[in-house]
Amino acid sequence: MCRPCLTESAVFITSELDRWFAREILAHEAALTRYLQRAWQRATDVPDLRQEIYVRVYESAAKALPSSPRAFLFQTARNLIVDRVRRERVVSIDYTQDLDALNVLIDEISPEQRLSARQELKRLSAALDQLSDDCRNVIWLRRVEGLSQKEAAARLRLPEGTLESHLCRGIRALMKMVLGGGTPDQPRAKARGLDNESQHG
Amino acid sequence: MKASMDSDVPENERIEEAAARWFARQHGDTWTDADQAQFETWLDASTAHRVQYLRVVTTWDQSARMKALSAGVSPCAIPLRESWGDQRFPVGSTTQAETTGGALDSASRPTRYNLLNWRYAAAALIAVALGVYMLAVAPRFAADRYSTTLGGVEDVSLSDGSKITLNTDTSIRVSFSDHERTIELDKGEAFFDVAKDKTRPFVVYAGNKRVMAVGTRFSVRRDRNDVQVVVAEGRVNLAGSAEQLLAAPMPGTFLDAGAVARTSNAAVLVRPDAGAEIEKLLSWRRGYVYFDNVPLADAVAEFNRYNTRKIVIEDPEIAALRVGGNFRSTNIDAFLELMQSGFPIAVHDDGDRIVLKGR
Repeated sequence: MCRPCLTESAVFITSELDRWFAREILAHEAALTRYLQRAWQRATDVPDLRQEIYVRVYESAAKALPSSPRAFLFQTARNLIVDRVRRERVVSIDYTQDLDALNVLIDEISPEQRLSARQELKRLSAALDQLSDDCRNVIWLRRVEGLSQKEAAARLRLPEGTLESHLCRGIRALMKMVLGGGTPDQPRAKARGLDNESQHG
Repeated sequence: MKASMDSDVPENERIEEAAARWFARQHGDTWTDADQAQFETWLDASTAHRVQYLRVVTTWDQSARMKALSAGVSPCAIPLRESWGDQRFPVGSTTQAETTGGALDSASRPTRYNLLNWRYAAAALIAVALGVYMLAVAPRFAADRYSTTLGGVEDVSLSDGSKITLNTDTSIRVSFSDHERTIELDKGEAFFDVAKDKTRPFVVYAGNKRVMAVGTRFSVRRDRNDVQVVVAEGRVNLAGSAEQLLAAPMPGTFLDAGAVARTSNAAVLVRPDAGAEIEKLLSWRRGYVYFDNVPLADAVAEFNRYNTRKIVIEDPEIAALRVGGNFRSTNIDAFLELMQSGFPIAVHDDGDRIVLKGR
């Protein structure tokens, strides 16, 4: 009954550009995130900046693929931050700390090391263990055992809609570990906690 | 999609969530052509949608490796958290998902390993022999010299447990005897994290000054006979060396944590409680230079300590402009960019020197 999982995603992304983006750009998400965290003071802005950078890179690559994707990605990041600083009319030299960090050589930000299969598996198992019980069970059944949604729902005695929600949350949580290189967006989580508290109060 | 699109949640998170939800739905059993059309409309509506969706898909693809975790788990049982013993992460053995790289590599390796082992063993033997020589024999008749080149910051661990961090273009000599741990600071700047040893004071000679400590953390910077001492922790004694005392008597001065002393020949200027200044004066250890409202000329001189590309100021008026900030010492470009955007300054890069002019 544990049939192998199809490489389902291939059905939905077929464009060469999409594959290029996943392979050449998303592979640097962890480094990019660290870079932004150093270069921008408000950590809560980082996911937003990151999205904007990806949009710019994707749209530019649609016209012409850059010859050095990694360098292009970080150049785009740098330009975006300079734009934002200008827009916020920050001319005070006190902001130099941020602009300064922009010029850190890309390779200085601990270059992506290629993880061995073993290390990667270890990281994935840690990621899996960080999920809530529901999300963890769903991810396990769907991704590891390759059950269909219906089968998984039956096993866990959950409505399919609920299962879908768990899968959705599970993937988002995994995303931080898998793409972000194991650095969850801590500040955002904290900010959320505060929000909740203020709602209760 | 839920109606939970409250304005508190930033746009990027809403898109990420929508992307994950589309993805989850696509993998359900009720995906229809109409759904597909709707999805494509959503995907094409904005590049932000597309990139977030690609993040989701990539995460899913990459987590395919997880399947290897099921090795040894009875089918259709979900293992407990942290039940992944180390045997689960075999080094060379083949698990389902490792067939791409690990397995191939390990197959061709064993013979080379043996050869390598021999080489390592030989190298290790030589290293041990050298180490014994250095520890037991060398110090008796030679000091160890450590130095850095322009822009370099390096850590040195000494045999007594003390640690020294050398700043740019610095040279020191270290010699230990039974009654003194002697450091000669020939040029540059160094930070000393001194291990306690009451029987052997730790003495830094910088030009005609000597700085003595027992167990403490401090830095000494030497510019010929101008010496600056910054004490981060503990207490040090600053005094003239023998030659200095012959030339002009100078009383020894005790400096406590938080003190900064600047001396030139017999004159000593001490700021006993420099407060936050201390960390800034020591920020070079992390690769930064710090300026607090200093003339541009001073800032430039500081950058020139770290870089082979020297900055030259051509207009005296701009030399007096006051600047502040925190910069990575080897990144002149960031500094120059700011000078250009924040001040009436034009930058001309001649290749090996950078000229600053008024605009």
